[in-house]
Amino acid sequence: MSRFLLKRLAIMPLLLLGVVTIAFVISRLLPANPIASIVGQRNLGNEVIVAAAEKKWGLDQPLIVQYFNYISNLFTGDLGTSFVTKSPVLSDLADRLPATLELTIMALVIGAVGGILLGVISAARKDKIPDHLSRLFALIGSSLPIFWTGLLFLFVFYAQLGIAAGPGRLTARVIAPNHVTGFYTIDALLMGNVALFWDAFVHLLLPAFIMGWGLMGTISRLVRASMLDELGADYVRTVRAKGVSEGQVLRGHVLRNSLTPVVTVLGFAFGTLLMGAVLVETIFSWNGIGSYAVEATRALDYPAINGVSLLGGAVFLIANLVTDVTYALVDPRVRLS
Amino acid sequence: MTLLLTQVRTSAWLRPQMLFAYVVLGLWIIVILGVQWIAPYDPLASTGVRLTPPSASHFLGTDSLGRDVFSRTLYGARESLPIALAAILAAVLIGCALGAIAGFFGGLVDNIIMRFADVTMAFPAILLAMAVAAALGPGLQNALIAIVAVWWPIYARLTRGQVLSIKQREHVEADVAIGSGRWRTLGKHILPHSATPIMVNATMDLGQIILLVASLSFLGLGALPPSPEWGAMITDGAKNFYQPWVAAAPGLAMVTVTLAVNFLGDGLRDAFDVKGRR
Amino acid sequence: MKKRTLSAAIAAVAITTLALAGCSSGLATTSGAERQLVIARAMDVQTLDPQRGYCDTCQIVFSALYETLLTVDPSDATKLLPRLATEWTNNEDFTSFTFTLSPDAVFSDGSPVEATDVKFSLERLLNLQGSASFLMAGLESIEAPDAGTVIVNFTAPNSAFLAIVAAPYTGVVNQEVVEAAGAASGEDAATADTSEEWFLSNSAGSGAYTLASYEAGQSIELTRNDEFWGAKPTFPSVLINEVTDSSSQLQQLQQGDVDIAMQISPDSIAQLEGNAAITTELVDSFNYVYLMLAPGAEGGEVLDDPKVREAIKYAINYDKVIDATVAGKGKTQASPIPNGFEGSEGLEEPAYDPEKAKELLAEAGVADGFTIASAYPKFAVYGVDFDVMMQSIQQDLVEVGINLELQPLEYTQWAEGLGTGGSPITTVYFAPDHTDSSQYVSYFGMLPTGAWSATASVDGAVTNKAEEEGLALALTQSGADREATYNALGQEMADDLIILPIVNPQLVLAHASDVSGVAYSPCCNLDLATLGLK
Repeated sequence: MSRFLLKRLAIMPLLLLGVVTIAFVISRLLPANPIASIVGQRNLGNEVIVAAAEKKWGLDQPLIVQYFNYISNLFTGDLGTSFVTKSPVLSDLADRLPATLELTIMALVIGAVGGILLGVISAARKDKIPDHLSRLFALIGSSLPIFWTGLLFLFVFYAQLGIAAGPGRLTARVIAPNHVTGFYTIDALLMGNVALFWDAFVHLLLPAFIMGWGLMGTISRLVRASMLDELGADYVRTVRAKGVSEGQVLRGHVLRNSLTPVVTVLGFAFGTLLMGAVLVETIFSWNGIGSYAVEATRALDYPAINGVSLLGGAVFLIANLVTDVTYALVDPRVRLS
Repeated sequence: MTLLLTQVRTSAWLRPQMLFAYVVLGLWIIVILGVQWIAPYDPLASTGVRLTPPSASHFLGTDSLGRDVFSRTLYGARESLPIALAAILAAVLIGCALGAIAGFFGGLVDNIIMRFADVTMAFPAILLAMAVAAALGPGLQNALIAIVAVWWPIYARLTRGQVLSIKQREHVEADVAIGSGRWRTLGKHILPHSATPIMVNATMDLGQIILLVASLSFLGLGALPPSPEWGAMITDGAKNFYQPWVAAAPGLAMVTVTLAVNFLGDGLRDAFDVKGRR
Repeated sequence: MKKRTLSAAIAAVAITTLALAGCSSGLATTSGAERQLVIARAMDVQTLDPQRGYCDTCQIVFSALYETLLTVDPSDATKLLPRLATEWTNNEDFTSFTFTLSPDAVFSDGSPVEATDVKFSLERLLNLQGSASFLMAGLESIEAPDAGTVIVNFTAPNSAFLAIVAAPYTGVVNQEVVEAAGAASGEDAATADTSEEWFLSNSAGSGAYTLASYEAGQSIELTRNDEFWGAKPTFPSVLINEVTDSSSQLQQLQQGDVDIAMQISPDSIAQLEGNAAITTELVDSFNYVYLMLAPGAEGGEVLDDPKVREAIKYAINYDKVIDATVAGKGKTQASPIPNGFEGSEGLEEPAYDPEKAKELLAEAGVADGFTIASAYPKFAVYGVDFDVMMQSIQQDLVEVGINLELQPLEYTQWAEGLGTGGSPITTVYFAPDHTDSSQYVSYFGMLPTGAWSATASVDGAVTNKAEEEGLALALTQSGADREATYNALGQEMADDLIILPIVNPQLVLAHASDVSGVAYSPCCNLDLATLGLK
């Protein structure tokens, strides 16, 4: 397996380079040049200003030169400076990544836990009402347009019923916890401030649930299918014949084995969720990578677009790698191949 | 076709979910074909007082310009659905072609195509779609191109896998041994066998693609105003948050279609007994 | 057994939830002992350098951090009041202006505001060639004979200058401090000045507040200036939060999360009725949204005939558009000079007459109508959503046979498109930079300085002699004479039929009822220093 791992790790930089190249090409194909957002509409005709800005941001060089500059800067960890925020893209990403991570991890937890529960219920009560209901719930989850669900839930549960927290990571006027990890929940606990933790936590619930609902569908389907497979297996019959109760059968043996495919899906799901955050973050005024990506695309902020693509690509690749490795670790058949 | 039929379990076609799918999709097809006779109002004209809630004259209310939401939702099917269908077809055709070539010819060709596919897949889908759509400019056709650019690798991978496994089978080797041309072999043996899982996957993906088209429109990268495309209608609805009917209708319409398509995909998968890896 | 562990888990979660719910007292909020003012706004800030910035939010921030020589009377936009300058005079032909500075004025670091600081700031405004540098166009020289006297000389008459120095873009910076941070004011300032980044986290003015922090796209925080030489403002700190969506702003106002929501749409005011904790007010504003017709742009040839442009003007159902965009809370406007400004009175408002429009089109030889593209920026400003407005106009134009193809673009793409000729029909908004009508003629007139004159004809840039001469004349006049000249200029610009004002929206002021002093300021958008608590 280590050869397999090494091979995958070796390919990663190449794939990353591919991702960056595609991002670079696309961002340069964009029909407008970002000078407009840098110097403002009124100055577009002023050659002195435009030339100075082009020089400052390196836009006057031929494309190939810009490309090589970008790649060589990457090795020193310099992702360029955002045209919009005027700060280094790397620091922008570092600032905004924790928000998205916190949301994604929460979504993952909700999706996984919910999915497993639903899957178990479905398998245990196969073809009866609970099975149908939970499968329907899961299927609806993967059929919903996230941005629509977000709006709807905000309207019903926040604006009308007042039981859910509103948009944003914290209630307005509340001071954010001292920055340690960037995760408001963890940082609040580190400060010992339980109320602040709770505020951050409730603000996570709605957007994370909406993001995780789709995942619940996938996972519950997987769990149900693999549990049904397991339940029909020989060793289960043996264990039942030995007189072990149904509950013990489920918990002790079947569940554990059924979770294998779930683990593999989680890795892939993490990557998908991270970028699915794009839509949710715009609706919930969440200041993470997703909304950064949308703002960057809108303002044609090349360095930021490239930076986000690089980050997204890296996360995807790592997630897939982790998935493959975990799968190999967990399933002895794969390990030996 | 005989190959396909032997894999079918007839009862799977008549399950309640499948019936639901037939009915819903059938209704939407009727809507797409005959909306001029079904919709009460012109979707682009202001026919009522703006932002009125659902009433007798305007079944689902009016939007910010006084246009009938119900009519717009019905016409919207003509915008969102054909594009999604075209996108998946294009992605499947391009992906399968490339995947088949890669799998069958192997070697350098295989490597190049697959690495290209890997890099495209490493790219977060919505980001790539956003970037391509932004590069090409607004408009549903450009959104189509963006989606195809993002989605083809999945089918390339799938087809390649199928091709690799079938290539080894005896009757194919026999065919090659007696001297049939490579392209003939590809067409006669490999593609028909691969058709089933691809078809099932495509059906299941259709739902995701419909959502992706709407997402792009929601972000302002798809349909142009005043098109009643569902994603664009939801954006309008977001601006009129306190008049929920504006966004509710197109959203519900989308949910019924994607649900039906997902049921269809599930049913197809069970019918053909395909264990998809997704 | 599985069931028991499940119920035990549920019980545990429930107990913890209840326990945590009771702990809300531990939340440190910014409304502690002295309340911070929170404002919700869609910010359009690119820079916080007062001599480089040019945006609506900039007006608010700059007027809080920096001070100008004069300021506008909040109750009478035509009256100017002293600020940094206690006295001011000008020579007869408006080429030289003398200001006497208040001896009490000090910067936030305690040092006095001197004539050299004023000279530095105004020269820097001109030489940085930022978006607002046109305000100092025609500057010949600035003299600072002593610490309390500033003399500004122009090459040509400039009767608008007194109004100009009330604009927040002419705010005075502390020369010593900003020079140490890399600022320059000489002729090469555009390339020599390196202080832009410093301004993102610091301010060096004499205003009631200083900059505490700025997070791009998120928030701007200001804290009270302890050295402020004027009346101490009520709020110890002000937080301007980025809330892009107008309905989010409304929600936050309703929940009490923000004190002032600046861009609530007139449609949603009804939501706030009956809520005693919130006050809403509609006031007239000088802002407006307009259509720009460009015969010289690609695809715009058909617009070269003024009859066609006039037909478009008559084809638009202004009442319907105003209803669709701002729920009727707005007015039409006769010329690019906004209602209420000098010269706007008595001009003929645009009317809706589709029959006349069809007649004009027939006379121009396009009775069957035509198709024309319109690329416009996706803005929502002053309550007007451009998408909604353009779709409404599109509906009207269809009635007379004109097919408008809408292409909404992101701001950057649209602005870039302007640089290469632009679209035959587009739409933009304008808010006054200061209280003198000259800005409208310079910007909207068919003049070399005009923003839209280059594409006003298929044959290239257009210069309207009457406007050129009229503006030069107005800059030498004052009083009733000047008003008459601007009136004629307004009519002239309306007859150009290049700029078609569509709606002059009223401004929605929505704030917590216990906040006083919330008003529309014609110079500064919102004057933070005058806000208080009831």
